[in-house]
Amino acid sequence: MRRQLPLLLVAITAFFVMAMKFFNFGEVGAAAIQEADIWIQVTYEFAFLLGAINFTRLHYGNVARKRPKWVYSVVALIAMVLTCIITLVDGVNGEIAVFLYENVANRIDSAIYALLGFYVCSAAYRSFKLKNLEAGILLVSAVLLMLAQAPIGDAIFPGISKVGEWILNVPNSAGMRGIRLGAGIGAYAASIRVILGLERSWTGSGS
Amino acid sequence: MTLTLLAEEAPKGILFFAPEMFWDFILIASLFVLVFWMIQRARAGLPIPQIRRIAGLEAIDEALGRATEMGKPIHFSPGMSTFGSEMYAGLAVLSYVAKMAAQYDTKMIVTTRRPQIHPVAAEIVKQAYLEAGRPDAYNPDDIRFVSEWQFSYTAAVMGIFQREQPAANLMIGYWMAEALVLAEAGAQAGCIQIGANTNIFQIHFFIVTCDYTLIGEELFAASAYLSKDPMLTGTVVAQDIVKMAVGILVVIGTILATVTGSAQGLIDFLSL
Repeated sequence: MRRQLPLLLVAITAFFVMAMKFFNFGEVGAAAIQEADIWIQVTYEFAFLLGAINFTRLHYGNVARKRPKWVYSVVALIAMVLTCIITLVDGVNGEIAVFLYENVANRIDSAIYALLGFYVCSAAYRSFKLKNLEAGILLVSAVLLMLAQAPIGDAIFPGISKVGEWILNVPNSAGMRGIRLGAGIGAYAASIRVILGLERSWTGSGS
Repeated sequence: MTLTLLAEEAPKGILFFAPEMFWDFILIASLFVLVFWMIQRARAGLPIPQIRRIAGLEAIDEALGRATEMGKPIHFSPGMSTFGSEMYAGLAVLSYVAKMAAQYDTKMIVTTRRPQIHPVAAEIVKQAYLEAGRPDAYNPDDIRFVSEWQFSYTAAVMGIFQREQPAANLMIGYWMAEALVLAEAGAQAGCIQIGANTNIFQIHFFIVTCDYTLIGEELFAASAYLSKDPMLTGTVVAQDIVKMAVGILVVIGTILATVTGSAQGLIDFLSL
């Protein structure tokens, strides 16, 4: 029963949502979907509590057992506790809470995102090494596209911007659409597997 | 009472279908019919076509073997999405990898971004250790909810790569802008990497940084491929039949557009 109940709940919910989406039940349908969204949100908040417990247990364990680099766990725990206290006392839209959000959390987030620029270079270096035919095609396409996008490209090779445009619009778009089409239909099929209970590994019981 | 309300609210005639959902309904209904057909074939013991060899999935055993030989952990993440088709596919692969890791006695670190995924991932891994007959080897501290923030999660996993030096990194699910940052960090830590993604704007980052990449729909074939269950394989066959039908429509549209100069008639028909 422990394994069957989640499967049953998933099937009922899925058929309910599908009916609401596919058939026009007017305002009743819209209200039902809205209600389902609230239920999802409530479930999500409970799950967040589990996440916080796991986070605390892991980092407390690191500190208590003095595992390597345990100091970072102290920082993580202090950051979490302080943020919770400030948000509870000051409110979600309080001055200090918003300051911390915008000037600490957002900035750190942006810094990590900025790493992408550097990693693009190292990934490009590794992938453009001429090791096989595929890498060769990638290299030639990339060089052509870079020249096509740069203003100097047309000055060196007149008409190269047209070549770049063609690469982007024809082979690139065709490939992307093919992948999107396959992935879209694959997602439908995967959902049906879950709805029908054929895919059960997420319950921990294997397929 | 509810049914009466529904009947009163529903527009009359063909508009009973929600606008622009007719063909979606046909697609889903066709898939259901084909899946049931394939299940019947599988139950009757009739032959089901095989799935072609997928290098990325074959390489999972290699990655696990490498980690075991080196005595290092493996890192697994089911992606950034919440519950959805990609997440279920990622969790199916997690189930397989966890069983193998439990059998090989290899430490497995699982990181999740979504709090609701964490207990599910923990249950999958715990069950895998139970099935392998080694429940004592299951360590709940290895299944980690990291952060809901996209780049906080990224930074934390990069830290895990640096501190715990996993021998293999499996990123199976839906990935966004963090795809390249994580895959590059994994490559720099010397991991053998297997990536899977359905996000067409990020797949190429996995292709250039990972040793093996599951592209798009290959992710959804993973559970059938790994379990070798004929019923699951049947659903992949059903999916391929629908894909072929859609492909035929694309070809018809292309011919119409080339010969008559416009495929607007077909587009209007499919926009019903």
